[in-house]
Amino acid sequence: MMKIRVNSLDDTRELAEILASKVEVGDVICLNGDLGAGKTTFTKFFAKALGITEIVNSPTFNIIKCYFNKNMNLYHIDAYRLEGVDGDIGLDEYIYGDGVCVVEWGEFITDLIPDNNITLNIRRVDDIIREVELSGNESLVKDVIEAWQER
Amino acid sequence: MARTLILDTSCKFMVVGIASNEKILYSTQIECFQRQSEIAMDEVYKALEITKTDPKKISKIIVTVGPGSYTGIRIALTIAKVYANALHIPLVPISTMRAMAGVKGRKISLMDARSKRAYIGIYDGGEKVVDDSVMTIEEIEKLLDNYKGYKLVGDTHLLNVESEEIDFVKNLYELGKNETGVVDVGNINPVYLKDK
Repeated sequence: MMKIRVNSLDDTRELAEILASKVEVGDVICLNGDLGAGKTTFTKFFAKALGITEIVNSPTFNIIKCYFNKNMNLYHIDAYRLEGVDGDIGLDEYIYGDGVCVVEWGEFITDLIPDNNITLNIRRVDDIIREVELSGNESLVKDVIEAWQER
Repeated sequence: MARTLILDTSCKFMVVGIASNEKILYSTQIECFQRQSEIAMDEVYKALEITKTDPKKISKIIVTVGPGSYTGIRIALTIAKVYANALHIPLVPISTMRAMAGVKGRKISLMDARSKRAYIGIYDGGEKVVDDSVMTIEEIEKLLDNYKGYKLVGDTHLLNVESEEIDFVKNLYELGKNETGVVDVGNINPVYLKDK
């Protein structure tokens, strides 16, 4: 587990850009954090870094939004409304799909989250500063941390 | 002349066909995995327009019901049910595995079900040998020994085997053209197989 300190919105963007440059098809990124921690903001920067030009916003109502893109497809899942939902709604087609998947509220779909996911726990320190704890997918975490330190 | 509408969105294609009197008048098969819903209705309208088919002339719809993509199956099936209901015409539901196999020869249909699993259907001359199911790739590899002489179709890359592209419109028409179909379309349900 590695912790990094994000001191500005620009830092958030840089972290998202680093991650976007390292991910591969099939990677799953779990974003955890309280309301206002910056999960959606991070995803917006991440999508932009992948080359997605569409507006990215929270899929709380839709549960999933797909952003098809030449470089890498992005599936953005918000499982908040799946708490206590039993049964298959086909999310595995995206999680194990042809792209990278960002999952918010992954704790409600733990069965579907692959073990090698990378998890970002985002903690709000103050209005601007965030502490981001990276865990899971070891090689990816290592790559991201290295790139973060070298920037 | 009465026309048959043929639809499939249960795997990676958007498939639309129009046939009449043993002849396929129109056939399209566009690869657009997870995006069929974006073009589905446009493609149906295009097929009707190009073949100058008044929807009222459609006498039957042949549609796949899965197994396959959870979202995908329901796109074509919903369109088919709405047309069938509005036009009071029968619907012929066909297993996606059977559609992949077609009417000729001994075939094993495969479709990626993710997590190292696949949907599998075993057919001989269009008739099922065993029920469609979902298995791990490992289980399928073992099973193949019992079915020597069967040709693999579909997502055969899962077993590192090359195969020809399937002509869904042709297969579906051949399988469904002589079927009377189901009028009470509310009773036709998608086949997911994975649901416990």
